Amino acid sequence: MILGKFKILGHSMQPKLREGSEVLVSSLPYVFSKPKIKDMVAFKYLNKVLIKRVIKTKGNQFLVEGDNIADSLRIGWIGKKDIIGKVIHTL
Amino acid sequence: MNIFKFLPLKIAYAHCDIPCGIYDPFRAQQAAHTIIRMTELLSKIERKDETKAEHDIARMTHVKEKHGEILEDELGTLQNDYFKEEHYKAHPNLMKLLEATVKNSIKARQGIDMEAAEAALSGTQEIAEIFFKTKGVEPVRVKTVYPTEREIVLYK
Repeated sequence: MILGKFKILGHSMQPKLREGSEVLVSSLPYVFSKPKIKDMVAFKYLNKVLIKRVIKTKGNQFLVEGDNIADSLRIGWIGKKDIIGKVIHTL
Repeated sequence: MNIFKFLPLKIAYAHCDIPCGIYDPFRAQQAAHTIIRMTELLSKIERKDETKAEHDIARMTHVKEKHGEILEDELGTLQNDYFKEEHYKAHPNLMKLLEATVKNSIKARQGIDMEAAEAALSGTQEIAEIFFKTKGVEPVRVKTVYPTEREIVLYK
């Protein structure tokens, strides 16, 4: 996805992303490089798209969690193939 | 003109309850009891052996601090992930109760303050009662077997 627009449902990325806010997500930043720590990424998880922040990286694996609450144990490590793109702008 | 207006809008979830959806005020209550217990113990430290006293203070303060953080995290999870608009409407005092309980937890961490520790537990119990009501079960206060000898909210 070169560019996608997403509406946020949920509170785990507050205060940066409030419920109902809209963001632009692009895969372009990750064409030639990997997600970095502190990047907000959109990724596929159980047939849904989630947005979280990268807090650790290990090769092509990325540990993500919400800003608002440490729920990464519930999500765990995700692969680069699951990442749709980077949150590049908040509308 | 918003040049992104014509992009199709999709949904991205920033939920913390995927996939478990498991919430329980038990851990918050246990943490609040621990804060009370540590506050009690800290206020009874004997100074006969200064090195031991300093060591005990360090350990107890650490445990009190840790459980304050647990309490605040657990209340944050309930506030941000579990309680929804309809819960806040049905219980108009809920938001203030959550905020006040977190403040009391912080206050209890900042000093040896039994009043704040008691208020943190009391607020947590009230929140637990509201939680169980939202689940359609009847909350009940039961005396614990903890050394705090105070109550915990369970449900029938």
